Amino acid sequence: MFGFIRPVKPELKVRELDRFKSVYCGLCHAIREQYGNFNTMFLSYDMTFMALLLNSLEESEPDVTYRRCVASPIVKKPSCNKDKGIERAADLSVLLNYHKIQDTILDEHGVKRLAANGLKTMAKHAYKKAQTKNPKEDEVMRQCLYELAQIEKSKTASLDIPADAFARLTTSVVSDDFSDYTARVLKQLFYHTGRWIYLIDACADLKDDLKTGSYNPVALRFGLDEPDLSKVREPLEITLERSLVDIYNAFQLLDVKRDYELMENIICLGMPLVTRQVLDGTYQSNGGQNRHGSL
Amino acid sequence: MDPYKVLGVTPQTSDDDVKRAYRELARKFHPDNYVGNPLADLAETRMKEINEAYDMIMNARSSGGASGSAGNDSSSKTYNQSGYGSYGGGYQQSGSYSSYGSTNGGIYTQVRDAINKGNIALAEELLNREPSKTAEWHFLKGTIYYRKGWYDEARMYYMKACDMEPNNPEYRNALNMLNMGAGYGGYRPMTSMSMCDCCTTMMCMNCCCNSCCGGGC
Repeated sequence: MFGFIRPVKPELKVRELDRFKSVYCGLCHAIREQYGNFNTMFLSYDMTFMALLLNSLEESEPDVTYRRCVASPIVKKPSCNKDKGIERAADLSVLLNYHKIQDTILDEHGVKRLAANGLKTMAKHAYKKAQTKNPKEDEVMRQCLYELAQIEKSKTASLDIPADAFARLTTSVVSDDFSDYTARVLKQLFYHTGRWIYLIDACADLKDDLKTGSYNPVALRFGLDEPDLSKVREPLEITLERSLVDIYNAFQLLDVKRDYELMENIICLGMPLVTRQVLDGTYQSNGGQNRHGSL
Repeated sequence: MDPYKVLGVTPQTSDDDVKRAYRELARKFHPDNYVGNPLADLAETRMKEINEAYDMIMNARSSGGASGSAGNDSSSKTYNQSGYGSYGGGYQQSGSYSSYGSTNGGIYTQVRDAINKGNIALAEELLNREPSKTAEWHFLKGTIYYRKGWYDEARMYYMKACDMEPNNPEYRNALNMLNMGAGYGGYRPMTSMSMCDCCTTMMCMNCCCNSCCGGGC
């Protein structure tokens, strides 16, 4: 969706990196098989983290199949086979993408809006399929995004109010299949993941939003009219750090069956690194948004 | 309950390593890390399990005489009792808001009660009905936001409470806690850049050396 959640590669073991890549491939194949090639375009590391996390709660060991794809048509790449976790991440990824496109249509004007409309038409078929399969999740997303749109429309000068709407949207990931314990922990984990993503995204978009006059909670909360975060760095850092701490503390309580170190790398190194880069303004020069490359 | 499974060790693990595994887990699930966290009760249960498992293993080893000596056992017990065990009790007191004298009696006591019971919605409703916005009102509002994970709002209300009553230790404490991130021993994502311990560093260095030498020779 945004791609802020990623591991720090130099700190990974080779097998952990292989595993991350294979889950990334597995998720992509799962989306393609169920929803067609078009939807794989929106694959992101955020969703890979979600797939990894949901997969780590499954009892059965994941298998790997070597497969070719559009991105690697000659060499077969190891790809994690579809299981419940990956399938769910695939479904939700399609739902989220569609809602994101819908959001763009409402926000943007001119060419971008037209393009988004085109994308929407292309994504509609897959969305309907995912929606039929997960009607409850879709309803939560729809409701949260509606609330978010209202908050944005009224130019609410708060970080937590819009972040809460988005955070509740991400908790829709947690299905009813989990035990009460796991569901509680996962909800807390995804709530703060969503909160962090929303706020980091707002910080990263500050420059563009100020230029276009779009809603930006960070600008409104601190009364910024220049894209300079240095003066408000402290409160932003504290609030973002608190969410990271809550993610970490929730993660510790999960009974993960595998990939503990890999996910710890993402939570303890990757997310703090991105936080620092975004607040420093060095995120774009470090391969930032939309051109994050591959690991 | 299999105590070895709880600590992630085996019956063959040495006493020292069991102790190390116990400390590592106790550091993670320490109640200080979960103050005001909606999952605090789960962490507390985990902590209890870890303590029990550790005691079980150490007791079994000392009575069976499998690998632990008598001296070792007594030291482990005192560590457990005076160490993490007592923190758990201390946390309960400091985490409970009603232990402080409430100036406005009635409504604030009720709000504190509701917060302590985890009924955040009720606490919020009670507080919103209160017309006078004192320092304590702001503090309690901040506490409610803190529980909800709305940390920016919480911080603003705590700061306001501290502005209005700069000498109140309770408000000052709450703000400091929030500013400092998790309690001591907790995870500090922004300050501790490298979670990698000595071992990993050595391994990385080893890899580098290998690749350099491999290429050169």
